[in-house]
Amino acid sequence: MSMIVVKDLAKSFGTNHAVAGVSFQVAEGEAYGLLGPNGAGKSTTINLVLGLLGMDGGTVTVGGQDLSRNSAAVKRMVGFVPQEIALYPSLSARENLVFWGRMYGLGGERLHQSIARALETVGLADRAKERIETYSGGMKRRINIAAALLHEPKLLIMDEPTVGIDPQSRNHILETVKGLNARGMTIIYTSHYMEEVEFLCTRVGIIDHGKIIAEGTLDELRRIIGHRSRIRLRLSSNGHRVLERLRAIKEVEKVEEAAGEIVITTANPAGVLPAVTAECTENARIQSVALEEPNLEAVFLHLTGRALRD
Amino acid sequence: MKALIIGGKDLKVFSRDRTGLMMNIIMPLLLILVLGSALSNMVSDKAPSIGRFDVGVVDESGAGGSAAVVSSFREVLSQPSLKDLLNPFTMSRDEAESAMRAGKLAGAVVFPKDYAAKIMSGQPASLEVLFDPGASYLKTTILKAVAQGYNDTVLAVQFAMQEAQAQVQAQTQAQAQAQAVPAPEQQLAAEMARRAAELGQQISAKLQAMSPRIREETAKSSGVVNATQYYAITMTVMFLGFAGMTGLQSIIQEKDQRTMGRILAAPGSRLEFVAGKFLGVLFIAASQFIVLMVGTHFIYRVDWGSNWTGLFLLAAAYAITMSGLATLVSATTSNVKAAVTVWMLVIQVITALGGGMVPISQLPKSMTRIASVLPNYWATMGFFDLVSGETLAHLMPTILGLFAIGALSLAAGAWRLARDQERRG
Ligand SMILES: Nc1ncnc2c1ncn2[C@@H]1O[C@H](COP(=O)(O)OP(=O)(O)O)[C@@H](O)[C@H]1O
Ligand SMILES: [Mg+2]
Repeated sequence: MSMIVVKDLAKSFGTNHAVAGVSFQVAEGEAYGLLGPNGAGKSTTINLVLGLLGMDGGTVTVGGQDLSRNSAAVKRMVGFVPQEIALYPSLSARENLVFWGRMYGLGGERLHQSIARALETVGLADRAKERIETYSGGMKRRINIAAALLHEPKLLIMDEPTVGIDPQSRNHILETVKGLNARGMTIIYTSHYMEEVEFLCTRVGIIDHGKIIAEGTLDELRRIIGHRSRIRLRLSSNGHRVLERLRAIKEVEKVEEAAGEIVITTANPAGVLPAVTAECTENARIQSVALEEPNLEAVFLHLTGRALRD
Repeated sequence: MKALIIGGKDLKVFSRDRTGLMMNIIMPLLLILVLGSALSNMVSDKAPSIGRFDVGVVDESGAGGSAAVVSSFREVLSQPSLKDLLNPFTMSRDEAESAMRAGKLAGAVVFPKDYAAKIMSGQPASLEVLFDPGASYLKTTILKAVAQGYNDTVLAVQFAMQEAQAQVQAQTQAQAQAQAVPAPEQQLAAEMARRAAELGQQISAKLQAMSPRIREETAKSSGVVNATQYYAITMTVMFLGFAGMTGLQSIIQEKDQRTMGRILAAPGSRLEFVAGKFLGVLFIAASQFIVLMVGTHFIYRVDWGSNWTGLFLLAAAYAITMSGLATLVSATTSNVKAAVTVWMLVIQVITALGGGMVPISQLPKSMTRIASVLPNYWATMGFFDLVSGETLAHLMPTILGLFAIGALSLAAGAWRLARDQERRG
């Protein structure tokens, strides 16, 4: 059964068609990733789904309830983690959570239990009395998530919840979200980091210029680029003769040189690697070798000719 | 419910904001102290004490026995119970007005055209009170009370005389008697003069009951409205005006911090959000008012009178007016930062116009005239009235007027904001 159905969503800001007909469905218990570069229309899509922006067209149905007809019921089912840290800096983490819990109609014992559970989930129970403004970026992000969990939403919508934090905090957050999903919570996760989406999500929509340009499971998406891997090489000296020789190797599809790096595209990286190293060491020293499995970054590049991140 | 939670949260956030507390609590307290001591001469120049002040008595009532009526009024003023307060001078309206313009006269009581004749024929009549808007509010209050007290008694005496006359006429049917008896105005004046002592005492008692300050003054005839009290009121009004803007800024802040989006993502309407922010302003303004009132009372010994209901209603009405206007201003401009700056400036200008910086008595008349249509002037005068013992009923028009302006502008502003939000997101 679908937790959320989004159909033909559209929103323009003047002549800028920020969201131009976005449709997707997320099944109950699924973790759905919305992957796209900055300005692709992820946040606008999320704001439309939450009813924070008036839509120009389209429908949103959550748990069988139409957003335009019964927004209160929809909002009760949804937890929202905004892209920005939407907390009151001068209040403590607990005070913030009390406020956000009350916004969802929680009170009394139930509120306190939810707060304890949410703090437990994000691992900040021992720091709850401190003011948000004294927190590190990563801790703020964690409370930002905790605030969305208090009313035990069926659907958790997270808009780039890891922007601008250290790798350790990011891993903590990713693990937390994975845990929530494992316990049955449906997740929509937007990001421009393909690693996050690959780690968390079972299905992904790739969004660009306000449109979903590809959608499917990770495997389905990788199939778009035919499961090709890339080998990146850095040599002490590059001669164009090396490139010619590499191109001659069997099963090597493409050899390019970019920014001092040689990029080899192949469907069989393990098979060609010995021949590649042999050709290279003949004329120069190999400074580094990297093997890139087919990933969403490559898919995006393939579809748009641009990188996910600039 | 949601609105209350948001308002409560705003008060908490306000209490955590050190710069905000400095600006909104410590600053006014310091300003009151500084202005109060620096400008104490100016305030007390004009109002050294109520001790004894000049009052004009203007007779425009014309012919008949009116001169006798007017002199009975002077008789009342010269009673021992009132003569320490008032020093009457007979003069023309022009003289009175130019003396007031020159700041030499607090006010005048005018006997209007045909006053005595009207009274005698049983028509409604009342005395006109002129006063210098820059004069001490206390003097004005005294003047009004005296005129009112006299007028009430005149009406009562006239009524009694008519009753008596009707009886006499019915009994004797003697028309010629009218010849022997003095003119009715003369009778009235004589009766008023006879009652002068009693009336003087009545008015004095009423004045004392009205205000603890007058009670003190009539007892020892020393300085009234001291500069600190004056500035405690004008500065409180000014800072309540700033509070309107504080609320507005906090809406902008919720937008910037994206907490607004998060609040709106929870079940509930935009209207509840606006109502919550509005309650926040009200809570903040109320606590600011309480702190300033209690603070000035204990630190500077400022007398705020005892009409707490009136004080709070007036403060609330004024805070509502100013936050309503602030919401409206911000809703109709795209550049909110500029709006905040302009607002701060406007508040200071209208405070100055209304005598908040330099006492009203030192300002040109034209300024006071402009100020008199501004809500901050109403609020200031309202507070002056309240601390000098005016009743809540007397203040009701001011309070309701302020409430109405506030409610209207808030509604208009909220509507604009909500519509804007919908478009811009
Ligand atoms: N409130 C707004 N007013 C005008 N343009 C906007 C607004 N919000 C977003 N946009 C524009 O819409 C496009 C999509 O933005 P956004 O949804 O924030 O992208 P993403 O979240 O994927 O980075 C961008 O071109 C952005 O400039
Ligand atoms: Mg975004």
